[in-house]
Amino acid sequence: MSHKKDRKAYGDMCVPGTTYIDYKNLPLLRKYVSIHGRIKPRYYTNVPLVLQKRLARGIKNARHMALLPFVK
Amino acid sequence: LLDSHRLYQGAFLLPDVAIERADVHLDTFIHRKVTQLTMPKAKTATEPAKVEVPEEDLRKYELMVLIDPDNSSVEYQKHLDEVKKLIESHAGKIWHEEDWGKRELAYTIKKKDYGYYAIFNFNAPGEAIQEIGAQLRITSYVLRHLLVKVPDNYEPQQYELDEVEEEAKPEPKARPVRKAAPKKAAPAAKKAEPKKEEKAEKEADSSEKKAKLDKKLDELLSGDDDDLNL
Repeated sequence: MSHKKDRKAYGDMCVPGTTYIDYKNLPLLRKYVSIHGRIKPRYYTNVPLVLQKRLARGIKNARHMALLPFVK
Repeated sequence: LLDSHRLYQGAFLLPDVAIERADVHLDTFIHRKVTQLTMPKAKTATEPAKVEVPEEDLRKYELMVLIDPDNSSVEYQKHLDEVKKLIESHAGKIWHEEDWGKRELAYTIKKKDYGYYAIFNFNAPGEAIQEIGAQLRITSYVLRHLLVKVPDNYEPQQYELDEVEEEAKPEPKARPVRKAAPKKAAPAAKKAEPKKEEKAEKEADSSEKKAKLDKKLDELLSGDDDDLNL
């Protein structure tokens, strides 16, 4: 994925005007999940730590609501 | 004893009713006083939590409910109304609703592969959230629920859900091949025809233009000479 290079894109991950990553934003969350459904570690994603944590939270919430799989 | 009563009363600014009863035995008096003081407090603690809550104490929350698909759509609407009532009964004010309808689950829950998704955005006092969550956990038709605190300036967003994405993913591989052949052939033929006509027109235009340009140049040149002379 191209997210590794453009660091400016990280601001667009959040809901506009906030620093909150929405668990409903499935196209975004899918980028940060491996083909087996595991959360990609930060040494692959290069996402700032704060956002990586919020991403993880969002992915876990989405999993709970059966929007994303735990295991593929 | 009486003196001590009055000192006691003076210190705590007791109401007149209490002063009249000052001749009652000390223990009973104190007991009554305590009940008088504690009872109204308990009332004030319970009543305003349901009726009046200052807006400063309200926070933005989001509730996503996953409702059992086995029920008909009429029952589904009933269930949604019940969830709404539950929120409103706990002093919640709903300001946005979303209905995703029936969706495939990422994994089976209670042997079910589909479910109805609904989202409620509401303002509520913090104490109400635990109670709402506890109630939802008990209700049988709610397969899953998610109660999240949302930032104050949060506005509901519309996202492309994965169903659309999954359908689109495999197609692009096949599409370019199919589309490329007819598209290129058809427009090329179309383009070829107008191009010839355009060329003819252009030639005609160009000859006219050339004549015009020559005239203009002459005029300009003569004009320039005049300007220079001036």
